[in-house]
Amino acid sequence: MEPVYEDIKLQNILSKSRKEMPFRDFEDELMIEIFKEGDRKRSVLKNIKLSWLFFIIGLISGIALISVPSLLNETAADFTSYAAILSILMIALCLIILLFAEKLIRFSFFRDR
Amino acid sequence: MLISQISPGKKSRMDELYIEKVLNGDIDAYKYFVRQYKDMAFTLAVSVLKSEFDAKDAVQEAFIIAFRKLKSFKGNSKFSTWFCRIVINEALKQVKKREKDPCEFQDIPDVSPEDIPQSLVAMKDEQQKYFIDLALQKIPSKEALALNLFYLEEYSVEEVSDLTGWSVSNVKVILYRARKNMYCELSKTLRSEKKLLY
Repeated sequence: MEPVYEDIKLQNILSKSRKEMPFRDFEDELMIEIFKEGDRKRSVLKNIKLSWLFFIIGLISGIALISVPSLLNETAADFTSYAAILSILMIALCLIILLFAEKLIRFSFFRDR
Repeated sequence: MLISQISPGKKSRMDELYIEKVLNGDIDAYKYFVRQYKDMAFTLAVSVLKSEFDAKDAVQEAFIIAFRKLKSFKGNSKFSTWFCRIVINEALKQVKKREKDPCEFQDIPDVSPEDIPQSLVAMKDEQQKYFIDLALQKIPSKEALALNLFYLEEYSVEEVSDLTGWSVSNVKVILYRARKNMYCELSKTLRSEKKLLY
């Protein structure tokens, strides 16, 4: 059958076009880049862990900042102005949590995508 | 024993073993993949890019991408197939960057395998290789890539379609044209060489 003959002939011809990497230092150069990439990966992981730590510290500090003075000032006379400041602080805290939590989750769990 | 002498089944088990090693933090184990697949990747990249220096860059980038994404390799296909896809994407990306992909359909004269002069068969291996490389340089990137995947790497039409993102019918058309073009370029090159010699 002609197509089979043609395929075999072409396969024989093309088998001679198989190449070997002619650059002797290719492997060493590449492995240097791979090690750099490995270091980068490790530093990214370290930074993510630190980011989580500071995020949690910030979260706890924020909650403390809002709740502790409010307990002390519950009986204070200027309670209404204090409540306004408190609500602004709460909104700011919520916004910060939303913005940073989303980024942190994305970098921690979906960064390969 | 040389790596190339390992049977395909054993090779794929070795691949799995080394993937695990790399994922467990043994970066040096990645050398196994470099040694195993650099020639295959280089042959593929040269067929697309037609330049050894550009091919080297594309292969290097492909290895780095594969290392970065190794965690996402689920083992649904063989590592070689997965890596092959990365090499092809990287090479085609470079072609796009150069905006020089000459894969426009042109009229190709009808040349069959019988038209390839017997002189090619009579030539020494090195000379044959030279003329075959010359012909491959002259045919469009996509066609050279299709020939390479189908005849050298022995992927089926469906697998070529999966690797390149072209439809099955498109792969068949490209392969048909690639065969014709290859024979045509080969006989043209050999004829012009004959004229130079005599």
